[in-house]
Amino acid sequence: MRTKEVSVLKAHDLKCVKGSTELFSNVHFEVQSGEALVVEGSNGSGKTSLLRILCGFNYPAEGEISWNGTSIDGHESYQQQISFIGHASGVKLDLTVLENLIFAQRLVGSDRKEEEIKEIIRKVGLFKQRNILTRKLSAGQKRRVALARLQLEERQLWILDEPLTALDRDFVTEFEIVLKKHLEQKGMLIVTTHRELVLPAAQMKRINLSN
Amino acid sequence: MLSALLTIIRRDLLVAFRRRAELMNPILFYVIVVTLFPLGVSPDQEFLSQLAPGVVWVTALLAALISMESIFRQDFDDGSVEQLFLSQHPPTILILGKVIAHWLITGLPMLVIVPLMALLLYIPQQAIPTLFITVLIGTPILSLIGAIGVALTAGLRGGGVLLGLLVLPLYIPVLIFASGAVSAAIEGLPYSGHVAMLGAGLILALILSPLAISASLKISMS
Amino acid sequence: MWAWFHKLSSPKYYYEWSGKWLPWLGGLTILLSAIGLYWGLVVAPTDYQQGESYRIIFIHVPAAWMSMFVYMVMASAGFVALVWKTKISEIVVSECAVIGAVFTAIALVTGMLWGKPTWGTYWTWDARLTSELILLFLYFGVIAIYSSIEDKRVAAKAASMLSIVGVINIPIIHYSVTWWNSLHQPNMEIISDKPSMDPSMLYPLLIMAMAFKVYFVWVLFMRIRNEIISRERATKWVKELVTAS
Repeated sequence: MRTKEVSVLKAHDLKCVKGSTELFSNVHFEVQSGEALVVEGSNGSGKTSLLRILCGFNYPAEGEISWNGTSIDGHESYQQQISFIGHASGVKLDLTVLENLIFAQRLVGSDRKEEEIKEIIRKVGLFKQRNILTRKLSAGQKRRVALARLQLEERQLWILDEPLTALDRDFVTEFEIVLKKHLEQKGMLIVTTHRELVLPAAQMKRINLSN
Repeated sequence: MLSALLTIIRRDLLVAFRRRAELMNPILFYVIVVTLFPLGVSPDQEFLSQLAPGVVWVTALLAALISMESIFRQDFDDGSVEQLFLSQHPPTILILGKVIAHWLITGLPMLVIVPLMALLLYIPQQAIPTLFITVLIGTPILSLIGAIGVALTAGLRGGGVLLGLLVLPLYIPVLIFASGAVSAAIEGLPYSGHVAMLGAGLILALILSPLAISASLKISMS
Repeated sequence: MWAWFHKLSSPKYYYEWSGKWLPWLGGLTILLSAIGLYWGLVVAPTDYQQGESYRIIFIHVPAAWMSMFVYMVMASAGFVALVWKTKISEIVVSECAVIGAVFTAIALVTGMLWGKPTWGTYWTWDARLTSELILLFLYFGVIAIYSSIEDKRVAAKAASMLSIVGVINIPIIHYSVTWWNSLHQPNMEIISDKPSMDPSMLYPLLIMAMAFKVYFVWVLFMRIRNEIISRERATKWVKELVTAS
């Protein structure tokens, strides 16, 4: 569940190397509860790599990342504060929307009633499709299942890699409302996106990896 | 923790049942390969029953290899591997759950066709219980070790053959002790030593494999 | 001591340090091999049972010992690579895989050449040869996984993982093969490297074993240096090195 305290994610002097290519170096930032960090950069500049490093799936070639003062390296409870959506949506194609969400929220330790889950499904506009296999949904609909998962997991730090791809315009607005609410509730957001995200300017920070 | 284990097992079983048609494939493969031996070598009863333990187990290794692919491939594609490491529960427990689910789908059905194998290969009745026991203890070991190989090679080209190259040498002790047990039983000799070795192997695999699989998945994710 | 190890994990420092050792290693290899081979092939007496053909053990046995030893080195380096993530340990893993496979192949071939005059057949499924063969497969597995991953740092980690899993399995495989062999061929315990050997044969054997060890270190250093130059080619110190020569 959400903590009432303020959390801080700090990155210092990050360098990422893939094979023999240096993707980015000298990256610094600090994000606090209630703030969003928008990661920009051209294709191949390492946006996805940075996000994956922040999730703890990979190590930077150089630099440190700390969560509330402790390094995230080996910090198991850090990973349990994260909700992540990568290029793949993190949902099982052979399960229905409802089944996916029931299992997903059990894996984060909650045990909500089916009614609550159906309510979230309704909010992302998939109520009619709740018993349809995720495989049969469109790309945009699959994304929405992932976004429903986000809201069910109720974690502090949202790390989203191009979450808006394939979403139709009206749903983008819906989603921006969800993001805003997350920030208002002292959540943190790190996101890469090709589209312009409408978020309160006071809470938005940007970094560009192409420098 | 137990509930997390059960959740993961239920989820993976549900996913597998949605693809019911594919569930039978490893079993069918197994039966077909076993029939190749009398066809290719000799249908002579005495010969076959001597060859039987080896045939049963070599084929089991190959069938295990083929069915191993399914354990992590989908998870890498749909992003579930990442979610595994972000979950509230220790990844090793979830991984163990996945392997258990996989074994329930691929290893356990082998028990059902043991009587058929005994028939086709002229395995004498007194050896059939031993055959059951070795399949029951041996196939989970194959799943546990094979999963390490899949975790390292998922997403790489050269898929199945590369997996075989990595994993088959590691399967050799299981082959030796399992087929040795059945051979001994056929000849009326004691086989408890072999079974004990298999049991020890299973315990060792249960303790060490989830850690190895977890580390391998992390390597493949980077 | 730890500080020195830490320094050694930097490719540049390692390159300079290992360069100083190379001529000594090479010289020692040649010296030991010359002594060992002369002693073993010329001076040592003819074997009572096997005549002259036994002399191949002066190559075969050290090669077999090295095949196991190199795997241990590879697995240890693999452990270091996974825990401390140093570049040098990663290179050691991939180089040891190749060198170890070569030693294993030499052990197998010399074992087969010994087999022909001794038992009349090139191949026999005795415990030793079979274990060596399986060891060769384990090496092939490590080499295969290393070459199938493009990013060489990730490839080294995967290879490290596999070699650690392998090293745990090796005693199990060895035990099971020995047991299997004793069932089927109760009388064939052929390759005995236990020193129930006459000293006149034992000493050259031990010298050859030393020679093989030094040779291993020599070749390993050379291969590591090559790999360092290749990987670090974009850095300043490598560019200066190349233009200076």
